[in-house]
Formats: sequence, structure tokens, C-alpha cells
Amino acid sequence: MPLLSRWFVRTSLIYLCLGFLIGGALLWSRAIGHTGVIWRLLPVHVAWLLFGWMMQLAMGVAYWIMPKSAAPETAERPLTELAWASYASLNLSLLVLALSAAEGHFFGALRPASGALLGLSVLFYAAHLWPRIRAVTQAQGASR
Amino acid sequence: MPLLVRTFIKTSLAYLVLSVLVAALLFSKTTAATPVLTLVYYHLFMVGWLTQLVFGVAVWMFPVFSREKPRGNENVGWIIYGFLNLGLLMRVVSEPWHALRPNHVATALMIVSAILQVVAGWLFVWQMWPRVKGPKPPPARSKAA
Ligand code: HEM
Repeated sequence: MPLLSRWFVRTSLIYLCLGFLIGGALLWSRAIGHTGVIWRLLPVHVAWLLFGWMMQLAMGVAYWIMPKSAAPETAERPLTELAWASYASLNLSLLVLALSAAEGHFFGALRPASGALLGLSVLFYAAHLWPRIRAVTQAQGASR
Repeated sequence: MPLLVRTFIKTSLAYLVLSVLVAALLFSKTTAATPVLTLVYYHLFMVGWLTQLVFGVAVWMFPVFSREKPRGNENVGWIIYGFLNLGLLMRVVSEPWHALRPNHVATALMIVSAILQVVAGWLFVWQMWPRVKGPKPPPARSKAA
């Protein structure tokens, strides 16, 4: 598994831990009728599991197993900077979203920034992966 | 495909069917139970189907743990399977029950369900973490060669 895939996949596993933990805490609170501050974390629960866990894992695995190069003559993944930028902005977006759950005007105003970073992340990622989606001859096989 | 993997994937397919049936029910009729059934539908779909499918495929396809134990500790794999599904099924029953008619049994079931699912998720991460690794370095050439 290449280095960036390991970063994507390991980070996604961390979000699985945290997202499930928040979900478990919310379920417990619902059970005992607690309506406190924990419910501010509901959007964080959803985003961390949908984007931090599911999407990030898929991004890491796709980076690993899609045809490696954009053209049969080269053996390198193209535009890897874009893929790294996508990793960075996705995770910054998820952290900013968590900050935005805190009380106060300043924190609330961070939400659009989180959305913009998430959008940028998937744009970077699509731009990286697009040229790699092509027919592969048998001799080339899938990438390691 | 090992038995554990097949069990994860077949169970995930069962949840896919179940979640889409609940969705169809939700599309066709609005009742007092609609908000809580929507939550049930989301989690049947995202935990029962997608997360469980990912668990099964990851156990199967990720780089091997070691030559002797390619998929790590399979017993822990079965515990993850049991906890995730027991937890989810408990939630599917107890959450609507609690919402419509709050009672102590439903409360207890929800709490146990929360614990089981969180532990399943954490055990999965613990099992998979060492399997997220790079390719093996090529064997070192002997000096004599
Ligand atoms: C991949 C996994 C998961 C995804 C994508 C997910 C997604 C969601 C979504 C979309 C909602 C609805 C948010 C809303 O109404 O605005 C939600 C709510 C919730 N989730 Fe999850 N969830 C996941 C796993 C879990 C787990 C494992 C637990 C518990 C252990 C959990 C507990 C909850 C609770 C308690 C709520 C709020 C219910 C309420 O309003 O009473 N979730 N989740």
C-alpha cells in the first residue's frame, strides 16, 4: 500500500473510532433523555462517519488499486501533489467542522470554511484520479 | 473467500434489503413513527450494509497480518461480527420502542446497543491497524553474490 493510502486509511480508522464513540454517546443520551451539550456533536457524528470514515477509506483504497499511471509508458502516479492536497484539505475540513460545534459566533462562522475545504478536497482528488481511470492491458495489471 | 468474510458480506446484503424496505415504507406513508424510522433506516443502511460490507472486504483484501495468521485473529473477527450485529439489531428494536413508549427495558437495550457497536468499531480498528502497511522491501542480496 503506498504511503498516501496508508495515511488515508489510517486516518479513516481514527474517524471510525471517534464517529462511533460520538454515536454511542448520543444513543446513550437519547436513552436516558439527556438533552445537553453533546447534541451539538450530531453534525460532527454524521460528517466524521460519512466523509472521515467512509469517503476517506474509499479515497485511500482507490489511490492504491486504480491503474497506477495515466499512460501505459509511465509507471508513476501522476499529480500526487493534488492527492496529498486533497488529504490535507479533507482532514482540515473535518477538524474545522468539529471546532464549529463549539458555542459562540466565531465558531459557528467556521462552518462555511469547513464546507469549502471539503469541496476543494474532492475536486483535488477527482483531478488526481481522473487520468488514472483508463483501460489496463493484462501485462500492466493493477498497481501495488 | 473465508467464512468470516462471507458471513460479513452476506449479512450486509440482508441489511441492504431490509434498509431499502424500511425506506420504501417511509416513502409510502407518513406516521408518528416516521422520524425515528428514518434514523433506523439511515443506520441499517450505513452501519448494517456499508460499514459491514467494508469490514468484510477489508478483512479479506487488506495486506496480510503475517504469513501464519494472514487475517489476524479470526476469533476477534467473529466477536466484531457478533457485537456489531447484536448492537445494531438491539438499536433497531429499542429506539422506535423508546420513542413511541418510553420504558426501562428499551432504555437498557439502547445503552447496551451503544456499547456493543462502539466496542465492535474499536476492535475492528485494533485488528486492521497493523494490516495497513506498505509493500515488503525486496529481500537483501547476499554479500557473496
Ligand atoms: C457509518 C456509520 C454511521 C453513519 C453514516 C451515521 C449517520 C447518521 C445520520 C445521517 C444521522 C441523522 C442525523 C440527523 O438527524 O440530523 C445519525 C444520527 C444518529 N446516530 Fe449515526 N451514523 C453512523 C453510525 C452510528 C453508530 C455506530 C451509532 C451508535 C453507536 C450512531 C448513533 C446515532 C444517534 C444516537 C443519532 C441521533 C439519533 C436521534 O436523533 O435520536 N450512529 N447518524
